[in-house]
Amino acid sequence: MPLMRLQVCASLSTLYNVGIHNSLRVLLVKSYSVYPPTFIKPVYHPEEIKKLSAEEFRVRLHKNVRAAESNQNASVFHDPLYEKLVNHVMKGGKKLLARQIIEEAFLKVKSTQVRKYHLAKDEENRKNILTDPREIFHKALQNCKPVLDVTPVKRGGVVYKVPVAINDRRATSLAFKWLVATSREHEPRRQHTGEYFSDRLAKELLDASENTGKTVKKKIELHKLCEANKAYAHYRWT
Amino acid sequence: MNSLASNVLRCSMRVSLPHGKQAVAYMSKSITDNVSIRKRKTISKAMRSYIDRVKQFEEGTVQAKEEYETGRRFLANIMGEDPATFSAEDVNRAIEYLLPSGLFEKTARPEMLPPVEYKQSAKFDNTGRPFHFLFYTGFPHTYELQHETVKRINKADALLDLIHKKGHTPEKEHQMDLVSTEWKNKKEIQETINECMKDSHFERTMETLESLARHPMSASFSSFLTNYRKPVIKQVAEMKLPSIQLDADGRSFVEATRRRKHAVATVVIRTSGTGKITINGEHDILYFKDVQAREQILYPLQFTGMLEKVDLDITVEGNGSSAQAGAARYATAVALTPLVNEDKRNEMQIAGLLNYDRREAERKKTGKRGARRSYTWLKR
Repeated sequence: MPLMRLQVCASLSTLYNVGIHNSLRVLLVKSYSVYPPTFIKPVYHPEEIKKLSAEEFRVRLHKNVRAAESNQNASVFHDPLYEKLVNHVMKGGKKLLARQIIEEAFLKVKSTQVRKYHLAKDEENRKNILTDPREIFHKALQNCKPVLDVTPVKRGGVVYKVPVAINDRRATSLAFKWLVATSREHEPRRQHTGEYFSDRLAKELLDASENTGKTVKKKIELHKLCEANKAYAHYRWT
Repeated sequence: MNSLASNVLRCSMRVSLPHGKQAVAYMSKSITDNVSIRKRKTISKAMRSYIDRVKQFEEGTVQAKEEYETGRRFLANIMGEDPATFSAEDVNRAIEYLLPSGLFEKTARPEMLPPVEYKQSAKFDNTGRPFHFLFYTGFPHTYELQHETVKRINKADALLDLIHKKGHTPEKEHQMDLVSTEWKNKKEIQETINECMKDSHFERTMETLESLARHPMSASFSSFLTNYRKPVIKQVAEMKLPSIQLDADGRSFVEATRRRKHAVATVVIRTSGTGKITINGEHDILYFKDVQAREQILYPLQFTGMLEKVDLDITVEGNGSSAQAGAARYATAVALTPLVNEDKRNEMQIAGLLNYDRREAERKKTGKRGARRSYTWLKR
């Protein structure tokens, strides 16, 4: 739905710029944000502010800015992807618990890698072993990101699965979803397996960072599905 | 009291009469005088009825003025003030005092307004021929503005062509600066062109003006465009900074109180400190159990590089830890503003540190489980 995307630029001035017809504006989805559309999102990290050009800085200074959110800060350890993972793991608004679980998982990743590091005999092997759990997490996430996705398109009463290229935002979202879903797979059988969510998340992160494991398998399966349906690709635009 | 009330009522009714009629808005005293002096034989019926209406209106205005004047002096006497210096504001104040109204609707409250005078001149001569070439469109000034804008767009195109012919490209100075000003809203534009606009007309006009403003050669027409633009208020520049005070030991400190949801935080920042943080007198930063809240407390300090240079004394109450941390962050950021330079203040503004977080829980709606979610559907 290209129209849905337009709601982002629903401020009047942008609409004038685009020159949208009045009748189209009715179709735009009403935004429920408490902030008026003239408010822009903050650039909350000092490093990001340094990257802004002088012109952009001046433009932002003349606009109303939303307050920085409560999971954004100027710490050197701040990582937006980590905050995103917290939000994906969180259930029922218990962020404190979600953070605790993720920290546990990261600790397990760390201890596994450190053990591996000490067991490795020669220096060359040791160099290749990552011991920073955050680095492993980033690498795992990168390996889980799909390039293509399928969307259902109805043609002549038949619903075809049409492969489409996806943007980075969607790819990241899918990667997070899969990572958390595969780690949650056997959650009800915890008594039997003795494994906690943090154990399985740690395992999944380690596997994915080496391009193996269930999550990466999911990604490859999706790519295979796209490959099988590539004959229908033109339905996207015809 | 009764006579006053009736006077007030009569006044406001008479005054509100001309508001409703659009035709009445087109006349003035000068034109009626002119018309009555030069009596032409070839006067059309429409013109005659127009003159009659003007006369009627003028008489009405005179009467309304007299009545208002009487009421004003009367009110001044009641209030025991000098009638000569009793202004329209004083009248409003007196009415509010003498006739207190608990009505919520503002228009339903008693009021006494001075009669409105229309300064706009008649739009046609005494033969009934309109002055404006677009008079019969019904919106002459709106369409004139659009015409003028398009004329300028064509001129700008010609200028651009000239530059291209010389083999140059337009530079940045050729375009008007649109950052420090913004478009006037509909009401302000209507006041500028002195005409009511339809929504569709307004949008079309703004689109035309926008395309001129975005033109690479728009700088030449900035004097025309600034009529329809207004300056943007820079929030940091307008902001009132908290003052730097001195305590008994001669150590300077800044105090600020800010809110987030229902939490209120008062922060005292003492300069030349070691980075000590006290929360509610007895706790340190471990007062907050979650890491996110602790990070929030440190955020403005890390941002401004004041982390181990100042001492923080936070008093916070109400709501949960997240809101408390948010309030404390906001108060800390505001208290830091007089201690840093202007560039840093600008950066803080861009980072959203100096803004109130206005997001709050959405209210529950009737017929819904919460704000949005519906109840489970039951057949019966």
